[in-house]
Amino acid sequence: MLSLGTTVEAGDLLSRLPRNVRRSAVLLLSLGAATGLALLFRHAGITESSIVLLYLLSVVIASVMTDRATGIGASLIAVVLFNFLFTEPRFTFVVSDPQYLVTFPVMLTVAVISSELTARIRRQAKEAEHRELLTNHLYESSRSLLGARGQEDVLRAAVGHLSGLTDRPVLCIVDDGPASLRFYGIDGFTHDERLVLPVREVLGQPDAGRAVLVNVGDTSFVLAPVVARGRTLAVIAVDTAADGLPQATSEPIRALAVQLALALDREEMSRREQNARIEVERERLRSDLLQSISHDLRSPLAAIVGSASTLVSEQTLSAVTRDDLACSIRDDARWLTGLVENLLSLTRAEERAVRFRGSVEVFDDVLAAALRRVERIHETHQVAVDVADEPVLVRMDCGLIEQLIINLLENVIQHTPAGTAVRLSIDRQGHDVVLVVEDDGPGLSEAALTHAFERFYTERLIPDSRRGMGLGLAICRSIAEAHSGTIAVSNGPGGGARFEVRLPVEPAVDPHGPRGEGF
Amino acid sequence: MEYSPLVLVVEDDPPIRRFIVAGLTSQGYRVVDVDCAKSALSHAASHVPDVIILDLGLPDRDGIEVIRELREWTRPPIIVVSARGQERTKVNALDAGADDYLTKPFGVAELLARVRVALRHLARMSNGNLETGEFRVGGLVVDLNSHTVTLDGTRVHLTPTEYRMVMVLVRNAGKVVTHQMLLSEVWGPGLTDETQYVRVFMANLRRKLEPDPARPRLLLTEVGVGYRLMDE
Repeated sequence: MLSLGTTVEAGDLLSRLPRNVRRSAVLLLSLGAATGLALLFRHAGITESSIVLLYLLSVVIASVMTDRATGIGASLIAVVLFNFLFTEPRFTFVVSDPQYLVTFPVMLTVAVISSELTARIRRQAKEAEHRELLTNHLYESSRSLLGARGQEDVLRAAVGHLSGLTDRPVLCIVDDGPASLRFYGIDGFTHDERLVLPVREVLGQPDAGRAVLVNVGDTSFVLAPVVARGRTLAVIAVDTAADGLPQATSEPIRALAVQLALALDREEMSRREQNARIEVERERLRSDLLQSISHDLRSPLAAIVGSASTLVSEQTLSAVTRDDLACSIRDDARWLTGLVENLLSLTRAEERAVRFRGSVEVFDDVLAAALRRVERIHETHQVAVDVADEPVLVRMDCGLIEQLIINLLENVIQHTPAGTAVRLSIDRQGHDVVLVVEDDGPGLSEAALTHAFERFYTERLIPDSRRGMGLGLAICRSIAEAHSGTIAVSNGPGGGARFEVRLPVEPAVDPHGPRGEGF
Repeated sequence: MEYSPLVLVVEDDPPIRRFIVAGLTSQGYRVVDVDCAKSALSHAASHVPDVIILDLGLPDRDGIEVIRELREWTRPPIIVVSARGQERTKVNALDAGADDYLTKPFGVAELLARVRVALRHLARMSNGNLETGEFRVGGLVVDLNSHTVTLDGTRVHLTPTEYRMVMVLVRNAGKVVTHQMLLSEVWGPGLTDETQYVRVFMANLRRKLEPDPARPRLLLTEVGVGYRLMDE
């Protein structure tokens, strides 16, 4: 056990030495040991053929531990040593017995061939190891490229793996609009202005076949195109560090380029599919809207035109009639204004769903402001408001949330008889703020409960009620969802409608203010 | 004859200009109306108006720039007119030196109320500041000498910060006060991104001053812009 330990240590020591020193050490040790043993053999009267075998063994050991050249060197030295030390006349290079003229060449040939074979096995083992490493890398990269979602993630993953595979500065570059490229890199190397033109050229070719080498400054980059279905989707740039790119490195780059092409292609297809879906949805909404608008806008506009032209042309109207006409113009125009606000909210809510920022507002502030814009609800309904003890902060587009509350209130006005009691409450539940708008009116029918938030769903419960387009509640839902919230409707225990809006709350601020209460 | 104030109306849309002018003249104001920023600046210099009503969407120049230029040399109240959904623009206009705003569409009652507030402020500024005496609106009385606030005869207990906020609102009674203005007047300059504090403190203040949250009467929230303490 002890001797094994020492051997390992010696091997460790050897492998840590510089290459040339290591070679010489191996030569010296193996041939020295063989020579020492051979001298002992000779003393013991063992025949020369055993000594030849001993030298051959030392040559094999030397070539296992080093490389081909050292193996051949060892073969030559072994033959020379054998000649010098063991053949008569000893200690000269002269050979007296002609049989050695056969022994030497055979010994040399066997030594060279065995060292050659050993070296080849070693090389193959090394290649297999390298291949396995590469396979592992490619397996890993294909897994992470498949798992990545979105072009950006895919490219980041690819850059990470490329840099691991090549151990050189790498960049992945994609087209980013008509006049700009987007660079992805890691470890601080994320852009190289000098690459812009050559990369553009590669990207410009519809099916850039082979990688090209471009010289920039004191180094050169290999630009490998990433091609899928006849289109160049991206370019991989690898710094060759002036020493060119060995075969062992360019192979994985090619393999990764193929994987990247597949991943990017998949991303682009899914993006296109999604866009197409959104476009279809938009198109449908647009045509539905146009239909509704042409139907529902005509009547208030006709009323406005009629009333106004009567006011202009009929000079003999009584004061009461003139008043009536003017008021109806005002009311119709207000209704139209509300409609326009809602349509604008709808588009804005859709934009917000994609990119939401907004500001942090106190929820009951917005409720109060919305109530003020539906002042007329107080004329017909009994409104009670119950706010949370502590102000609740919500990150929101305040115009949209105001619109949401207005729509809920308008819905109450439209669907419940005069005298109905309406209760609004704001409550904090865990990480949500919950706004409840409930009334003691007739409630919603089964069908209305299911379809309430669908666009263009309308139900006239109160005869003679103001016309509606069936957009108000649908917009409420769009707005709630754009704020990562939800909206739901049910009939309350008393039978009236109960709308519940849930929005995520923002963490509370320090109750003492930015500089403390008593600064 | 009593002095009737002069209002400069800057609005490029003729029907809106017409109705503003009609509403103002019917109340006895003298009115000069123009349709672009260039004539607005020259008329502001030649006529010395008491109030300026300025539409922010002028064809020849950005409204905010016009406000900045006017504010370099003249102090009459500026009321800006803009569409709903442009809260950011309103805040910018107010922070650039405008005094108040009207949101399209607005009625003549709203227009006249804003002009009255603006004129009252003008009068107050020329009579020296309002740091003494008392402020009354509805059931709210703010005694500026004893630093006490009563609502319908009952003393309201305010923290020092809340009282400072009330003071800023009283000084600007009737006008809108932006979050940023409150922040720098109550907590001092240098804070820019902490307007959440203003919102939370105001929400608490409103709980104390508005008995019925369903119908705020005195302390109104102008969503996305700021607050307004009513004065009539």
